[in-house]
Amino acid sequence: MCARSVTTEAIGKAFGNERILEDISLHIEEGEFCVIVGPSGCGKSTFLNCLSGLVEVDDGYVAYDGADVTGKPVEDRDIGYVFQEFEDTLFPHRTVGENVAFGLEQQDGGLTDAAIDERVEEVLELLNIGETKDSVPEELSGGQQQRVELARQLVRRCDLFLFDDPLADLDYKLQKQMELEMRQIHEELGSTFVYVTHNQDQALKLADRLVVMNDGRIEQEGTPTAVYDSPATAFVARFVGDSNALTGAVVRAEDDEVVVDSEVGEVHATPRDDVGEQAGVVLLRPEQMAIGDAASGRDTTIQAELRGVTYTGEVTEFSVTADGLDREFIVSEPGRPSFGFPGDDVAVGWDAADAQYFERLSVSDSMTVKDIIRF
Amino acid sequence: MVQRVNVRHVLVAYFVLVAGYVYLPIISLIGFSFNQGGLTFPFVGFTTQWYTELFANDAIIGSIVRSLELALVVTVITTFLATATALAYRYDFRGQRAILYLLILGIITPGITYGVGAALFLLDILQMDKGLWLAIPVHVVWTLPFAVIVLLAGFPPTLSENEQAARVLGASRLTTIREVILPQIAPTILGAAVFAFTLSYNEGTRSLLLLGQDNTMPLQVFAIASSKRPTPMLFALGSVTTVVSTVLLLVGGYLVVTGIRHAD
Repeated sequence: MCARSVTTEAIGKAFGNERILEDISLHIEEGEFCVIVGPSGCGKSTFLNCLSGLVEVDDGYVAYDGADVTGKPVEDRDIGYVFQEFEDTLFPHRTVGENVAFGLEQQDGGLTDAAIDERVEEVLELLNIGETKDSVPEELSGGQQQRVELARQLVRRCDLFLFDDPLADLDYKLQKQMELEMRQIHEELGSTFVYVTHNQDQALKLADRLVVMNDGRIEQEGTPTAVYDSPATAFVARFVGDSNALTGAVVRAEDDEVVVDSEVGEVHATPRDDVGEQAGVVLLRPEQMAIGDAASGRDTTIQAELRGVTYTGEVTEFSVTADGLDREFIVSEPGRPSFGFPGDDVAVGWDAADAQYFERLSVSDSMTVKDIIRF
Repeated sequence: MVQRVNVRHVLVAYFVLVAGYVYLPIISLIGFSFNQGGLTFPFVGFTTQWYTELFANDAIIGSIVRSLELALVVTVITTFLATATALAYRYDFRGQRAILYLLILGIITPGITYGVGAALFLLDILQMDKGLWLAIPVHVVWTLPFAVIVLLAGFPPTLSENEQAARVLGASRLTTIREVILPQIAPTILGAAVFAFTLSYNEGTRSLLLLGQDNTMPLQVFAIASSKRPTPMLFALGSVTTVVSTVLLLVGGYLVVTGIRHAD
């Protein structure tokens, strides 16, 4: 199996007066599983459409394996593209088998009917929908339809597959199952996958390379762990994974720490970028905060009030609030520990190394501290 | 004692009145076409004499054949243009609205006014000779907007998504149209064609001044009706036309509706 690399250089796109994409340069290696994630309206689907050729770019270029394909129509690019709206894209007048065979029939140097049939049955088996071959899409469940959409792209064994949030319309359980299958399929095919999703959880699970987009630009790209552990901006930290946010300006810097005058008093944090005069945000991961006795002796400890306890199956989430805070923080602990009942006082603390201070909120100028806090 | 008026009964009576107003002329037309007497009451006795006369009348049969020929050509042109227009109309483009309004103008312009204008333009300005085929463009202007509207209403809502999917799967534009689009819209196209055919067959005023000696069926009817001694043969002609048109429209309607259902 071969795979293609994808390169974009300074891509820009506008619909009417609205700028959708701004100066996007990205290189995706051969065989990579690249996930593009961002909030709805950030331009990620448009970017994918630019990669596929379904949308023409205004500025910049797109290259496959280093060769410019910018003006090439999508039907000549020999790429797979899995749509999110599979209910709308499956051919209603053709059976599942005929839907899946359609792409193979279009390939040059045509396969024989028998060879096509063999490939179709093989891919339907791979996706566990062999029994639907002679049904029309209308007769299938949403999950089955989604697999047919997947099958008719995968059967073509392209070097490059693009996915537009293909699991978004599936129920939770099916989504989890398909996530695992997506990774397996990627390994089996060895092709390059570019996968767009709004679901940061899914993005972290699937990606070799994670690209976070916001407001038509790339906020950060890197491995999932790099993005999660060292977010480049407050937006990334807020969007990828869960976090609690405090705001305030730095009152003094000590070695590689800063002390921030926040809503709950002075807190210790580690600066992620250059420290200036303006107010920034301190972001805390729920699992890196301590609650109860473990909170004492941390770089920062505050007195809080327990508001609620939620057991999620793996961890217990404690929601707490403190004087000066108009919202609740989430602190998570593995297992099912107890720190009292709602209304009880409880100590909450963290080390400066685990609290990230950002003055750079986003690559986009439109983000304010308020937006980050409310996110 | 005050009797309560049953709304249901009032509505039924109203419906009967309206339906009677609309359909009685048609029914009496068919009834009198079998009347042994004259054009009016009394109904003397049953006869098929007028039908025999009708089919023996070369002038009328000639006009019907001309109308059918004209309608056939107009239908083919209209169907082709309307399908292309409706397919293009799914995309956003500059002047999209203007094109629709220009098309609709073909419906709202009074037929006789348009007929005079067409005669002025084709006969006087372009110096063309009168004849049956001169009516083709004039009829297409009349039938095209109906066909486009029928098609737009009958297209499956997912046609554009299907088209995109076909392109991504590597299909050329021609293959996409042949294997993905046409199979899905074929019933609607047939329905639109039937509408176009009926509209063209029954259209008289727009081509009134263009035909010369080649009278079409509607014009032949005008000629007979305004002559001094019309016979119930006119009713026979009216009955045949009405029944055939109704059947065609029912077929067309059925095709469009099943096309829409199938798309859902």
